[in-house]
Amino acid sequence: MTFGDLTRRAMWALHVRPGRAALSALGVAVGVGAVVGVLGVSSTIQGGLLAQLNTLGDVMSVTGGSGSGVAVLVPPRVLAMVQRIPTVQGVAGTRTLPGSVQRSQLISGQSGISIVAFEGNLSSATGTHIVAGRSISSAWDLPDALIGSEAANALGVTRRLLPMQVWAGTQSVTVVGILSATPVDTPGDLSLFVPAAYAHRALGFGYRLDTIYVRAPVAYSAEVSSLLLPTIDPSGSLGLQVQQDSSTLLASAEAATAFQGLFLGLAVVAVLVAAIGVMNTLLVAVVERRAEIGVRRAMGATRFEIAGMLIAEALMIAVAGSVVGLLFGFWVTIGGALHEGVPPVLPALVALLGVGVALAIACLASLYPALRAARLPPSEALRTIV
Amino acid sequence: MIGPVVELHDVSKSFGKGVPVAALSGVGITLLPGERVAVVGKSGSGKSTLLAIAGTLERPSSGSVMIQGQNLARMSDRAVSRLRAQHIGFVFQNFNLLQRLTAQENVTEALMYGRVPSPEREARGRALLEQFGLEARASHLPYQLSGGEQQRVAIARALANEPTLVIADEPTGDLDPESGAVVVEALLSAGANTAVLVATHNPDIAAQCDRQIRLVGGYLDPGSP
Repeated sequence: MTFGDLTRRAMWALHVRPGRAALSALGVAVGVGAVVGVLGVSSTIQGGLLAQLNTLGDVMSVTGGSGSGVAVLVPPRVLAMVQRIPTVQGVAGTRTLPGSVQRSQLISGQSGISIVAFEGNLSSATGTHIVAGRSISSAWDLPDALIGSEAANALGVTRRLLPMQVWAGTQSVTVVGILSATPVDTPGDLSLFVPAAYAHRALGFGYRLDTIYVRAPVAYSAEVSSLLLPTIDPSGSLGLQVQQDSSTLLASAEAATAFQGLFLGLAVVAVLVAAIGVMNTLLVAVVERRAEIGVRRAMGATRFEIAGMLIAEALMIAVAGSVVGLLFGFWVTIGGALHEGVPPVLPALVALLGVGVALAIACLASLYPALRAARLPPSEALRTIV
Repeated sequence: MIGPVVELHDVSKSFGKGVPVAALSGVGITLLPGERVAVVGKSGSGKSTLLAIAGTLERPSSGSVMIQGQNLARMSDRAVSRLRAQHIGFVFQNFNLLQRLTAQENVTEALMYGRVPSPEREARGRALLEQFGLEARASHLPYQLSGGEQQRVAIARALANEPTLVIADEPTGDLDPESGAVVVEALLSAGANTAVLVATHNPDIAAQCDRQIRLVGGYLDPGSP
């Protein structure tokens, strides 16, 4: 019996009872689809977050040690020193000034929106960009300002209203640009950024920074982070500390796969259930086809050929189920990617592995029925009424 | 000189555990190439068991079986299967055709197990059906054929690999006399070197054979030639 003979006979046997074969294949499809879907969706979400992280780079901030309650101030010249660290993509320093921002001078009390003087390239250092209006340099000595996304929402500053006058404490300043939301949750979103030069002249900014933002590629962030404190405060007397703001994103990426193991376990259970279905189908087939097995043995079929016939049927079911399951898993993954607005990550290796496991399990599941069929004594099988 | 096709020496066969039931006791027969031998006897006399052992479907509990000069006891299941595929054809009382295959496919299935290359099977299957007047029935499924036609398909299948031994167990048992006569003619038309061992209750069929073996309660009747 050649491979072609075996394949044709397996297809013929499945064709005889298409409903039963289709249901068994459906079981395999659900199992494989679940495996591919679970891994595909979680990989897609994780891939999207990591891609975002890689695009933005890792944002680090250097501030005074917590607990003192007093801001530690450093001179702006450290920015140039930090900028010289290889692979650093952007550096900026800020200082939160007294007072808060209001839309009108007539409104009293705290709005919760800070007045922040900035030095250096703010957008580049915090991974933001101007979503409306224009940017300004920290050397700009006019009462112009950039506003964080949350602060813009709070004050009702929109693209249409730009340039728009607001009050920074007692000073009237003009908002000329709206910053995009920071990729991670930083205080900058709820701030009004005024250039250092103007802040120095009008708001009492003494060219001392309380926070330094540094952006570096994710791959080099650990190295840059370790160099920041020795660069800014070689003696270590200021008690500064470095915070990797992007750790939130990394945590999100890890969270995307946190339940992967659990769901994968459930999917594997589905594959096992499918395998039991295949085994059941074949066991019923052995009982129903005793006479056929007897006739084939009388015609000269070896035990191996009888067993091979049933294993081939199981493999056909597994192949059909796997193909449908793969398509289903990919469809779920693409749906998840569209929902999240990120490119789909189709885990080809995992998919192949899933199909391989399905085939192997189908093969194992068919062993017992196949051996039962093969061990059936021909004369006993022939006593079955056809 | 060509040796015997089958030799059974002092063959006994028992079934069941605990208190075994003896189906055959000390039977010895020899079939020469081309011989037509009828096995007669009452129901339960051991005819079918004798045929199953001669056809290698059963192994004896004791005694020896030589097929084509080879000792069955020393052959693996694989070797016996190969031997069956190429040298032994079976015809059963209830035809035992594969119900989902056409008449021609039933014949070509036997050719497949006989290791006949795929391209040859179609032509040989067609020729065999033609030989038994079934060319118009080649694409019919078994349930679309009469009992006589089904049995002729079964004979075509049994002769497909030009076996040296054909085992027929009550081949006309389910047929009317007219169809039975056609089937017997077809069966006995097997090649000149093909031995035919046929179990039957029909004295007319037995009379057409070269000799008769009578079984009585699992023993060979001493009067049998």
